[in-house]
This record gives sequence, C-alpha cells and structure tokens, in this order.
Amino acid sequence: MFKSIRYFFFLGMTLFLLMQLLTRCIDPVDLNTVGSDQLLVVEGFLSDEAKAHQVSLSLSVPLDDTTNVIPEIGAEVRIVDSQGNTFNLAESSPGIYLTAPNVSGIVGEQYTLMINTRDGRAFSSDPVTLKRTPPIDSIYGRFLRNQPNQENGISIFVDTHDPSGQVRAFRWEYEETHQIQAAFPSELVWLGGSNYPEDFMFREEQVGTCWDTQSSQNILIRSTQNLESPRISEFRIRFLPEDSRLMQKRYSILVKQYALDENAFRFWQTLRDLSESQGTLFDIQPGVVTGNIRSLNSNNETVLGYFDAAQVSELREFFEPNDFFFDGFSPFSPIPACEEELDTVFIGNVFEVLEAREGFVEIYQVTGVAPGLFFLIVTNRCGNCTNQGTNVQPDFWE
Amino acid sequence: MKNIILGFIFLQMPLILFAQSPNERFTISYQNLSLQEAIVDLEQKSNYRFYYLSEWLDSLTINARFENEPLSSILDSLLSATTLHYTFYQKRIILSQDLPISTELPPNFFGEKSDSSTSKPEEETVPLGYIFSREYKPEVKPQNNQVEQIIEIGEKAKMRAGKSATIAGYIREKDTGEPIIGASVYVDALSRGASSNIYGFYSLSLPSGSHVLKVQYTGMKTTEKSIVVYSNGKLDISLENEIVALKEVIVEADQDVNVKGVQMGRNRIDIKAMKNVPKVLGENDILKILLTLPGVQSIGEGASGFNVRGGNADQNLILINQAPIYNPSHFLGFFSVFNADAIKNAELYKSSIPVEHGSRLSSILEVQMKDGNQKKFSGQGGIGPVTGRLTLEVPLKKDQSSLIIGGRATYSDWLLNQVEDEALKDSEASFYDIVARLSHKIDDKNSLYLSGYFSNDRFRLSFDSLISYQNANLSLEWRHSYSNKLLGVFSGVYSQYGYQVGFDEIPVEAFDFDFKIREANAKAHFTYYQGKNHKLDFGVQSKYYWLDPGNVQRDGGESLILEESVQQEKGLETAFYLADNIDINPKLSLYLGLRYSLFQVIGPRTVFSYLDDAPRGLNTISDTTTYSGSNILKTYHGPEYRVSTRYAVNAKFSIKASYGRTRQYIHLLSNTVSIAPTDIWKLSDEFIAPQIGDQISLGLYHNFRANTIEASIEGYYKKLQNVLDYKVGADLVLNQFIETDVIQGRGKAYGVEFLLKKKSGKLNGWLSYTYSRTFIKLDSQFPSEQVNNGNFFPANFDKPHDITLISNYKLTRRYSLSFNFTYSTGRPITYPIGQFDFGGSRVIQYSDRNQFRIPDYIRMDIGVNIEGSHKIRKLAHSFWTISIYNLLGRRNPYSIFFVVDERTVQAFQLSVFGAPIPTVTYNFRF
Repeated sequence: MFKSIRYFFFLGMTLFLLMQLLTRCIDPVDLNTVGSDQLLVVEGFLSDEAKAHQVSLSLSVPLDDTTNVIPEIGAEVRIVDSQGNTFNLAESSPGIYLTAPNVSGIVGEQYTLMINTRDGRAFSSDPVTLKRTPPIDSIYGRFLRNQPNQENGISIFVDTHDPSGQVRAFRWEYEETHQIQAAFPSELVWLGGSNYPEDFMFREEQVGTCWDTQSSQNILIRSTQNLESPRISEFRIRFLPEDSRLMQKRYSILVKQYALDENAFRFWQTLRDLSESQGTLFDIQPGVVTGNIRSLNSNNETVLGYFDAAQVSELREFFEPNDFFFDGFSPFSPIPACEEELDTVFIGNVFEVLEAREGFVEIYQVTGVAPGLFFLIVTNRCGNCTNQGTNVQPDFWE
Repeated sequence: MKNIILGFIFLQMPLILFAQSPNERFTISYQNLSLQEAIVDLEQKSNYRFYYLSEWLDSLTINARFENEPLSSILDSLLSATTLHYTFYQKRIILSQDLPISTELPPNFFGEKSDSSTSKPEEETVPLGYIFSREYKPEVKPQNNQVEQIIEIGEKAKMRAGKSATIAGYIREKDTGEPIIGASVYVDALSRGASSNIYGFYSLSLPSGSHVLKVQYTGMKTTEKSIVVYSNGKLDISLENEIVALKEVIVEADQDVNVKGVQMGRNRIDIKAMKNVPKVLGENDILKILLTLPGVQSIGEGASGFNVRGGNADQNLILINQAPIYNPSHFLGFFSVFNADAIKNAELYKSSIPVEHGSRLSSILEVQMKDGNQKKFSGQGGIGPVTGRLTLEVPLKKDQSSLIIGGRATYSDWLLNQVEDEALKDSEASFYDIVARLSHKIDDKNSLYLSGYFSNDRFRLSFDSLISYQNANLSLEWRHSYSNKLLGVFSGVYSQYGYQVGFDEIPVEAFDFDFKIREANAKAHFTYYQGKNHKLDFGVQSKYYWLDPGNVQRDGGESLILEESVQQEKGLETAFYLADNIDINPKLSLYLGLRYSLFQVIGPRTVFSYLDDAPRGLNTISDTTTYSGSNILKTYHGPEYRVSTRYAVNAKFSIKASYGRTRQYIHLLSNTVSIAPTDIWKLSDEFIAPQIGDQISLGLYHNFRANTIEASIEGYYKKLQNVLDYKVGADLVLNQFIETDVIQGRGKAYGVEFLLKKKSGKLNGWLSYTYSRTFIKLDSQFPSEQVNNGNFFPANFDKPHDITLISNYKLTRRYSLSFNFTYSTGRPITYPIGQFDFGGSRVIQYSDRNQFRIPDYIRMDIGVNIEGSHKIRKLAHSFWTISIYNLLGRRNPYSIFFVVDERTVQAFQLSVFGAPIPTVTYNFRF
C-alpha cells in the first residue's frame, strides 16, 4: 500500500498543488497517434476444472475507437502439454476459441499455447506450469465511515494463505450478484387498447424480485513477497460506497482465486500500474507490457497478453444490510422514494395516461369496485425490476 | 602581511660600519608572542636599539626558549623563519630584509683597478646583489596610475643572472579580501602567463630581472605591476572593482581563457549575469542559468536535476566547497539548493574533466562559496514572492579570519494557509537552507577552511503522506604551500542525503519510511609548478559510502504495516591521479592526465546467485551467500584517461581537442521520467557494473573585438557503457532484489554547440544553439530485459534543437533591461496508442519507449533591474528586479497524460507556467 505508487501519486499531487498556486494549466488535447499498429492480444487460461477452456484473440483498437473489440478470427489455436498431448480449440464465436468440454489441466503439468493466424503468422507462449492454488480462507465485510481520504461504505475483504508457503502471489476475480426489490411490483400488463379487463393481463412471472450479476473490471492482485508471513489479510476486493444500491437487500460475491508465479504477477502489476497516469514527471516510465506470448516469425513483432494456467479456488459469501447496521439504520436507502412515484388514476383516464407514458410506467394494482376502479401506476424503476436484472433466481441463491 | 617591500632605507646608512660582537648572554622564554613583541622585549633586556620596518614582522608568532645564549644566536633563531638579516652597529641592531648589510666595503670599492687578467669576474658565483632597484626602473613610463612602484620579489642575495624564478601568491579583491578565481597574470613581453586557481593562487615562472606584470579580470581594473625578480618569491595582488560605487560581486570567466586555456567544455557561471536574468519565483538560481548553457538540458520546467551532453541526471557530481550535494533541488525542482548570495563562483565541466575529479560520468559542477569579507562587516539579502534570504559576512580578525553565513527560507506555508481551498489549506510546502564558511589564514603558507551546508524540504498534501528530505555536509580544508612551486590541499568531507516519508492518516497503515546515503571523503591534492612549462597536479582521494537503502517502520501501536529494511550497502572508492599541463610552446599546450579508480564492495551483505540461462528473478535464485563485515565482495577498477590539447593559431583563435574517460560507481535508481527526491542511490555491486563514459570533443574558439566577444563551436561524441534502466513497471522502493529489476545498456550521444557571448559593454549576454542527440540501447537475450526490442531509442531528455538567448541592456547606470528567449524541441514521450480488453478491464497499450514527442517549447521573458541611488555613503545598497516570466503566456506542454473514462481515453496537456508570471524582488546589500 505504501509503496512507490503512493510516493509518485503524492509527488504528482504536490506538483499540481504548486501549479494551482501559479496557474491552472490543464487543457484537453487531441490525440494524434494515427497509424498505430493493431497488435494481437491473447488472453488464455487453463485450469484443472473439467470444462471448455477459453482463449480469446483480438486486436488492439485505436484510442479514439470506443466501439468494441476487433476479434481475430479464423486462427488455429491449440494447447500442448509437456507430454506432447494437444488440445485443439475451436472458434465458438468470433475471436473466442474453446477447448472441447470436459478438458481439465493437471496441477504441475506444463502447457504451451500455440497460435497460427489466418495470415500465416505463428505465435507461441512460454511454457507455463499449472499452479496449485490454495483455498480462500474467508471473505468478510466491514462498514467504515469517516476514514480520511475515503468515502463511507462497505469494504469486502479476502484473506488467504498458502500453508506450504510456495504460492506468493494471487489474483482474484469476482462475480457479484445483488438482489433488487421493486417497491410496487407490477401485477398486470396493459396489452394496448381501451377496454377493461379485456386489454389487461395478469403477469405470469414475478417482476418484484430480481438479481443482477456483474463481473469484476479491475485488476486485483497481491503479493506476499514483502510480508513477514506468506499470508494475505484484509485484501480489499470490493468497495460499496454508501450511496450504492448494491446492498439494498441482499448481496452475494463469488470470489475466484488464482495463484500467480512471479512473471505473471509482474505482468498484471505493470498492466495495472500503467493505467494510473498522473501526467507528472514522477509517473513511472510507461512502456509496452510484454507478457509471455512471442512471435515465432519476427523478433520485432510485439504481442500483447498472457497465457496462464492454475487451479481455481472459489468461495461465495452473502451479505445483507443487517450484517452491518442495526435494523432501520442502514445508510443504503432501501427503495428510494418510490411512494412519490405512485399515481392513482381513475379508470376513465387510465388509457390516456398509459398511452402518453407508455414504456415508462407499469401498473402496480387495480383497486376499487367497478365501475369505480382505480389504477395504481408507478414508474418502471419502482414497478418492474427486470430492467435492472433477471427475475430468475440464480441457482446459488439461498 | 604585505610583501610589497619598499626600497631599502638602509641605503642611506654610512657605508662603514663597526661591528661589535655582544658578549652578554640571556635566558628568555617566548610563548605565542609576535616577532615584534619579542624584539621589543629584547630591546628592553639588552640595551640595544633595533631598527626595522614593523611591517616586516607582521604575522610571525614566536614560541622559543633560550638558555644563557648570546644575542646573536637568539636573533639567528628568531629570524630563521624570515627573510630578515641583522647587523650589529654600535649599540644598535639593524634589521634588513633579504640582504645582509655588509659592514665592509666591497673589494676595490674606491676604484683601485684589479688585475683583470688574474682576477676573473665572478658572474656565476658572486651574488649580483648590491643593485639598487631603481636600476631596474623601466624606461617606459607606465600607461596608467595602476603601476604604483617597483616591487621586488625574492632575495637579492639569491639572484642568479639568467636563471628563472617562480613568483606566486594570491589574487584578491581589494575591498573584501575575497580570492579571485581565474584571473590572468601575465607578462606580455614574454607571452607567458598563468591564471589563478580556485583559491586565487597563481604561480608563474619568470626569468630574473625586471618585468611588467599584468593582472586582468573582467569587472576588475586591469592592474600592472612593475616587478624585479631576484629569486623565488611571493607577490599577492589586490584588484579593485571597476565600478567603485556599486560593489556587486563580479565573477566571470577570465577574458581570454576561452582561447588560451587547454580546458574545453568548461562553463563558468557568472553570478553577476544571474542578476540580470529574469527569474520565475524571484530567486537567482544557478541551475536555471546552467540550463541556458549549450549542452545542458532538463526534462522539463520544474524537473529535478539536469542533463549534460546526453548523460542522466545522476551523472553529474555537484560539489559545494568540495562536498557533494546529492539532491540539488528544492520544491522538486523549482529552486536550486544554492543560495546565490553566498556563492562566489560555479564552474561546470562538460568534457575534459580535470583528473582530480571523478566518480561521475557526465559533468562536474563545482560551486565555490565566498570566503567572506575580511575587511568589514557586510551583508546582503532579498525578498521574493516565495522566499526570503539573508547572507552576512563577518571579519573575525582583519585580513586573517572571516565568517560567511547565509540562510534562505520560504513563507509558502503561510501563503498556503491564506488560500480558501480546503485541500490547500491543510497542505504544507516549505524549505530552508543554511550555508556557512569559516576561513582562517594561519600564516602565509597555511590556511584553513571549515564549511557547512544544510537544507531541508518538507511537503504534505492534505490527507497524504508527509515527505521531507535533507542535504547536509561539512568540509574541512587545509591549504599549505610548501614553496612557491608546490601547493598542497588536504580536505576531509562528510556528506549525507536522506529522505523520509511519513503517513499517519490511517492508523492501521501508518508508517515511517526513510532512506539515507552517507559519504566520508578524504583527499590530498598537490599542484607542482615545474619550470615555466609544466604544471603537475597529483593526489589521492578516497571515498567511503554507506547507505541505508530503505527502512520502513510502524507509526503508532495500531499500525499493521510490515516493518522491514533493505540491507545496508558499503563501498570504498579510491583514486590516484596525476596530470601534467605542458606548454610545449606558446602555441601548443597539452594536458595529459590519468586517474586510476578502484571500487570495493564491502560486507556485511547477503548476496543471491541467479541462474545463468534465465532473466534474473525471484524464481531463478540459485544460491544465497552471506558475507561478513570485513569481506570485500567485489572489486572494480580501471584507468580514466584525460587528455586535451590546444593549438593557438594566433592570440585570438585556437583549436582544442580532448578525450576523456570517466567511471561511475554510484547510481541513482529512478524509474520515473524525471528524477524525484525519493529516488534511491545504489552502489555498484556484483550485478550492477560501473558505468563508463568515453567522450571525444573538438572545439574552435575565436575572440573578437579585444576579447569582448567570444565565439566557440564544440562538437562531441560520447559512448556510455552500463547505463542503468529498469524493466517496465519495476518497483524500486524497498526492493530486496533490486538486481532483478535493473537492466544495463549502452548509450551514445553526439552534438554540436555554438556559443556567441558578449561579456561587456552596454549590451551583453549570450546566444547559444545546440544540436544534440542521445540514444539508449537496452538489449538482452531475454525479452523481458529488452526495451524497444533491443534497438536504440531516444533518451527522455533528447531534445535535438535548443536555442537560448540571454541578453541585458544597460540603459543607464541604474536601469537595465533584460530579455531571454528559449526554444527547444519537445522531449520524447511514450504515448498510449491503443487499447484492449484484458482480464475484464480496459487497458491502455503504449507505444515503443519515447516514440513520440511533446510539442516544442518556446518561452520569452523580460525583466527590469533598478539599482538604488549611487550615493557611496548610505545604509544599504538596494536594487529591485521586476520580471515577467513566459511573457507570451504560451502553454508549453510539460507532459501529456491520459485518463481512461469508461471506454474512452482522453488526453490532457499539462503546463507548469501557462501564463505570464510577474515577479518583483527586492534585494539589498550593506
């Protein structure tokens, strides 16, 4: 934590400080790096799970290209172990290559990724050993407020260690799922028309409780190299700020842990550090982050990416506001201000309203007795959670 | 003591003297008495009266004990250390300088002709003594009133016709007694000359007889002295300031050293010119001036350090009073650590570095403090927008001891507190520095200097770590002249640099980190003037380094930070050197030098061994060896050749060439674009080989208009070996396995430097243009140790074109205008050129190292200097400086940085001084 990043950040900020005293001199400029090469990006991973393992091939895109990944299609991809066994990968979707299902790597075995692209270039990874990954010890959360330089919120931490002391660096990915509760779940749907009840239908599926799942988007790595014992404690894997909706009802996080060797740790660390530019002269010297993939045709061709192999250790944990707060005192406001968005409309006006606000509102309920019927109409947000997640309860949900 | 001896008063004495041997015996003891006091005492005890000039007896201190001895032997003993002789004459004792007074007439005095056929004239053996100085009076009347009288040098008794004698002494400023560096002392008729060294000392070999000695120094009145040289002797010369009313310290390169000296690639910083250069934050800054010289560059405005002819910032040895300064910048690079008021002179060697200097590859910057006014109490100071400063010069004993002490401090903390912004209000940024030097002249042959320096910087951005760093050093120097020909300088130096980072905002993460480098250094340096054609410099220097490369400790009981430290490093660097300055003939001079340096890595230390066939890394450690305290782990050694030559085509035009090799055993680990105060120094060890630099250079020098305009062209080519760099993403702080992150490569640099300089007149200043390139090649059999696939790439400070104009125009004596212009090619930069998805996140793809350049740098500054009134008698002399830095307000890019927002990358340009910055500074001296 206290290592060079902080120093450089600090120094950078000091310069900014001085500059603020003098003049404010930060101007946006146009990027003028036309004609940059499109480089092959390789991301491959093999584990000991029995499944279809994935290697993705893409091309880097210019900076001003916000669109999408350009897949590298039609390549021959295979993984070779030290015994000479070959696992061929087939392109399942553009740029995504999969092994046959039920392929599983063996801990301690060496694997090499081989690629031949459509245009006849050949690439190979360095041989990597499928590493043993120790299990995750625990996942836990803590609500911290009034910490200097930090928002109030819940931090989720991971602890792990390798009893043998051999694994000294780890990488994590997570999938987080949070439950979404609509305040006024819609019970019926308007089919378009102006007759009641012919043009209405009761919903077949519930839209009150949904689940949204997202994957981690940051590089999460940590080494025990400079620690007294090879033990990771309080590695903060996720931070949920106070105003986040994720801890509204119930929250689950599945953490996947991978052992890293020194080269892989180095690769991920550099990748991470170089995305944190401050623009000062005290930023670390940036450069091409070369992984373990080489061109077999030319020494001067740069390939980006990494092929790695390790066991996966997984652990899932559930959290709800009561874990952190006394009932009713959660700063994570449960359902923000939906009462105000609930309108009561007389049946005589309802078709007019529904037509005018179609797509923005849902019908919560119908009350009263005909002909004095009233419709309770709410905004999408408060009446239907399927816009924010799936209403199918995930298998793991307890 | 002035050795300017008036004509003999004894010439008026009766020629026939009656000697009367005294029989009386005395028992006397003298302790710490001056010679004069001793003689007064003898007068009382003996009934003899002494006749002498009191100035002859000035500075000698007597410690002697006599038991029942006759007066004659007491006098023999007392006068043995002087050039005085005594003669008894009735009840009088007459002292005479240089020559004994004969009590007998010379043979044949009354004209009796000797038999010339039998008695050979004894020109060789008979002293050509009894000569009246007026015989040597020049026939030509002196051209100005600077020739005061004829000065006799040496003892007449020792004069030999046709033999050479060496005269030596110190050249000082008349008003302050401050030694003048680089003044020319010469005899036109013989075209023979010398220049004063950093102590103001000169030594010149001349045939015996009469000469007109000229002493010249810019800003000082040219002084002519008519001298008569009898034998080896001493001549101190005081020069007067040209402008008497304004006692600015004027220090400038000797007028024609450009053409006449053998040295090349040397620049002397003119403290006076500094005053006229518009300044950005109101401080005269040596390093900023340095950057206007050809061949000196920096990475950007406000970057720490400087780069000389393609060398890294750690390849410059920066010395103040012989002691190294490890971090020359305050405020990360906005100010230099040198208080210009206390500085006499700064000299930069870019090539043909003299043999007495080593340990760094690219340059030596030698900053010399003033010795302090020996005559009267004086001081100077100033108030600028960020800093205030005061320097005092205190004579402790007139003409003998003086003290100079200077201090500077910021009031930026106070400024920060005035700012409304909350974040800035809680921030800190301050520095101060103190310099002091005590000079003591023990006697004519011995002087002692004690100098000290301390600086401290402190920064904190609200809610972040507090960083502070200090330079500290102490040096003791003893100068001893064995004779007019041999001068010895013995010095002991202690220097250290350290920084601390403290963080206590989050109790569980609170820590204190510190780094420290210490150096103890002893040197014996000798200069020997052999005849008229040789000047030998030789000596030995030893430096002992010990470093604490990093140590982190918990701050407070709640902290969970791991306490650890990187093992201490020790090393001993020793060098022997010898150089000969040879004047083969008036046109051709040669400097032949050899420095042999040796570096020993000293234990205790634990060393890892790595597999040979893989890049060094934690997974390739094959063995661990622990060495105990006295072990020498590794020794590096090698010669450093320093050769240069000058051929003077005529008095105005010369050609010089040089070759030099330098070796560097200490390195600054810096993984950032510019060096930072928190970078770590590292000694060479079994993995990190010493850096070696070879430079050849060739220059043409031409002076015009009576040496007032200097023009030069210098070209150089340089090869660097074992230049340090790092793997992409290396983390250098608290790294126990630093060798796994360091890569070493080759460098090459070449360039041409043009300089046109006008040193006097109403309009003065200089114009320089430099074309220079610097490339680095980091190749290895392992791809992770390559940069740019192992091809040459431009260094961070490779700015091919650089134009600088510094000018000053004196409107009147009180008002002057200055104008500066700077243009340079933008520095190379590594751009993001693409992006890709990896591991779920959007990642920036960078170009090859330094593949692109930021836009060119253009800046214009103006300034007005207003001197106070020219009344001689007033409390203090003052002047105002009003300047506008970056008059055009051009937003010169300092860097370009990138922010990844969602999936788009936006580039921003950052300028340091993106608007005109006006500054008013008030300076005073008294």
